[in-house]
Amino acid sequence: MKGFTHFMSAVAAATFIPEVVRMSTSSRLDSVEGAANSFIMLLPGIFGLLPDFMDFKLGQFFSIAEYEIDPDPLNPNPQEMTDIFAKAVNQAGDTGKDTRVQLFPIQLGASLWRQYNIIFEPRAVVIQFNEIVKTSQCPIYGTAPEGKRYGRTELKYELKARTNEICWMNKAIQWLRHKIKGPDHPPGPVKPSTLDILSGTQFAFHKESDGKIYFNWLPWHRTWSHSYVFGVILSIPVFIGAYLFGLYNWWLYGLVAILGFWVHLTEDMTGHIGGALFWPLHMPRSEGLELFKASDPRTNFSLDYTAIVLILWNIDRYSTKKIDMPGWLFLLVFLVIPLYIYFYVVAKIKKKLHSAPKPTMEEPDGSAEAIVD
Amino acid sequence: MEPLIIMIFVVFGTLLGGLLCMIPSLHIYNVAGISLVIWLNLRNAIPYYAIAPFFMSMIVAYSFINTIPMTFFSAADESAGASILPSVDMLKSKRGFDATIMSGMGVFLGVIILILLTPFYYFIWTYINIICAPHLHWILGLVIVFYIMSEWPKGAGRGDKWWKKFKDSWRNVFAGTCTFILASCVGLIVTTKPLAPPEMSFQNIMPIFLGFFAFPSIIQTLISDAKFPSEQYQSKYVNCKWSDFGVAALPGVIGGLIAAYLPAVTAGIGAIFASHMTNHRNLQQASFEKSKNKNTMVKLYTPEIYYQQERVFLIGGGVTKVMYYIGAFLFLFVLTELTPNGMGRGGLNVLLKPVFSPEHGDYPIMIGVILFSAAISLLLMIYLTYFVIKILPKVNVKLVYSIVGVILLFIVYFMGGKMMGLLVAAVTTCIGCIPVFFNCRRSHCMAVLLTPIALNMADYGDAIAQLLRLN
Repeated sequence: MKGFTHFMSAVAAATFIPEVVRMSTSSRLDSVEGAANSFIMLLPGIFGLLPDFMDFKLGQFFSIAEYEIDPDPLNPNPQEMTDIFAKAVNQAGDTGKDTRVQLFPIQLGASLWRQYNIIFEPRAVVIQFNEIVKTSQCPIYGTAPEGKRYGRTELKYELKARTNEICWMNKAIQWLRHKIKGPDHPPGPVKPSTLDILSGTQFAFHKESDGKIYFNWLPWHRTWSHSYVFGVILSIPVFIGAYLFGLYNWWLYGLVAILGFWVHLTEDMTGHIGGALFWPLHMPRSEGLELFKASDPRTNFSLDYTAIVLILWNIDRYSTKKIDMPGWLFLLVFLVIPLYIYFYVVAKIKKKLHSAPKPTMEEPDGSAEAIVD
Repeated sequence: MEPLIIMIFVVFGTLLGGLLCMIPSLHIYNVAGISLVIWLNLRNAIPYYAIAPFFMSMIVAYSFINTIPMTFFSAADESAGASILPSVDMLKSKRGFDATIMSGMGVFLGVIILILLTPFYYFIWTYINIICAPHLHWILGLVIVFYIMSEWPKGAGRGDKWWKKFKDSWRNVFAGTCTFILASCVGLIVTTKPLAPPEMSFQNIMPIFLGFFAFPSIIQTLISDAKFPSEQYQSKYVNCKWSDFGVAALPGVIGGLIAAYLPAVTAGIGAIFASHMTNHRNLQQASFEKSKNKNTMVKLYTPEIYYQQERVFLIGGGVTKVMYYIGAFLFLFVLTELTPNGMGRGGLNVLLKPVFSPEHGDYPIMIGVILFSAAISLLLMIYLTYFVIKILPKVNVKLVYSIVGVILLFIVYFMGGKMMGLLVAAVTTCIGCIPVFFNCRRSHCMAVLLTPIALNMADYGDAIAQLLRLN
């Protein structure tokens, strides 16, 4: 899920605790007992964002790669890049020790980037340069490099996308996933990757017992930061702070912080990567339930909308009491029916988008560039 | 006779608003402040029943026409990191006209949506207004939390040590947080110890906002080497699709309503929230296709929905502006049992409250005013865009900004508290320059209002003032 979805869901979850809503109500509203102008509701919001905040703004900088691929913006050499990449893979295979490779973006101007793809064959890696793209990731017509645009290097070891070193936690998640979705599809080839704007990407390589190299994308992501246990540890200062400041219902502050953090982790479990759920007690990262893609706009928007409706419903029934309507009717009219319409409309749009023929041109047609009259 | 006089003042307000907002770099709150000075000088000339239509038409004109200076006279250059707005990007590719017209059409769409949503304001928005009112302090707090925590590091994180990577990556995030804290401090000081006497309190805000927004833009333009093509292509039609308007409506309305309802939350901040919530680009992702070119291994197909984002940004931005500028003022006239004093927000509401009270029956008049003024403003915007494109090759932007800078300095001195006003503007200019030169969000400066309002709503204002020894 996206950060905003975690944020909204975490706040919505906290509003289900009546005392939290009452404490958060302005004391100017004299009809609510316990109204105390509290800012407690900020805690689920902060802790709901914290796991990804720690990963992308802190954790990734501690993952120092053994190999770096930082192409020269004026004279990028794809062959040199694939050679370095292959060296990292081969070293992991030869020594049995994990290696990491960090790739950087190529910025050419304020809003201009050279896009490149990393394509994986069973025993080779290919890096191909594409057009210059804007920060919107839209290619600019006529900017593809001339001549041969790719480099290719053979690998001594075969790459694979799924690990076969499964711990008890992953076995449990796999079991649950199979119960919900049925058996997994047979593992396919490693999917190509695209690198263009803002930050780079990192891959880790680990040799497994079958002699193949397990290929781990963003090895620093969803590890220690995505742990239910770590969420509890992080909330300890909140409990202590609230207690020392003598805040009314001090224990609730830590509780909503944990709730916000846990909502984030639980939502992430619906995606393809799970988290190191019990770090530091159990270190491996879990697989996800693979129900939705984290970037799926339908899941994100529907959860955001649901969170807004639930927040309004909860703060009204626990404080202002202005909605003169049974709960089931309110949720039917303002949640179920709008979401039904939304999913119906989006399904139509998606069908139309995917049924449109793809242009056969090799270069982007620049359809957003000067559709002149 | 009354309708005719109202119409005259609507035309007058539209023309005056259009003229004011052609001045580059002015923030809406500056325009509101200047408007009030105009009102104080013209109070005997404007009949009571024409006050609201006059100011409404100024705001309508501002929504439409400020697109022109924003597109053609903005100051972003290569130092802007990865944050160049689509309008500036289009200007660079000689499509400034398209950018302005698309934004203008977005504003016009916004006006239509604003009016069509009337039942929503009376039957649902009033409830949301009342339910959220005693919770606004933490809602604003959450806006602050998300706003700060969601700023994405723009550096790629280069370096052989973790702290070097951190430093390379965090420049803009650190600058943003720093701006937010400093602006909050200014806000707390100014709300606790007003610089102007109470009868001139509206002027407090003017040097602050000129410092945060106008002067840094002027400085940026004066030292910038950015060169934009003076020859701009003039399309005969609006270069977008009907579906772009449909897609842009949702983020535009959500962002605008957030900004219109929450105090001190501007259109920019509202748009950030709306885009996080409503971006549907991933409905169709870029895909790898077989390549027929011997120089490539694959062809990465970028679907049209990616390209659409630029147009959605411009049109949606127009819708947001309407909900924020016009809607916030229009809500003053939504008088119901739950909201007997209306639901108006924003600078103009605050400024007009002492001199004007809405009455039942004003709402339909204001709808008429908005439609009439929007029609004039749209035409005015189109012809002014033609005019600007015509004179653009001859305009020395740096000279224009220099003249504007001098005028604004005079305004600060004579209307914003003389030397104290200049001093405040100098301090806020320094803070306002941080986002300009370190590529973080400029709306961090809005902490000047966000933080004190959130704290005061929770009744912590006095405690904070005591803590800072301001009492």
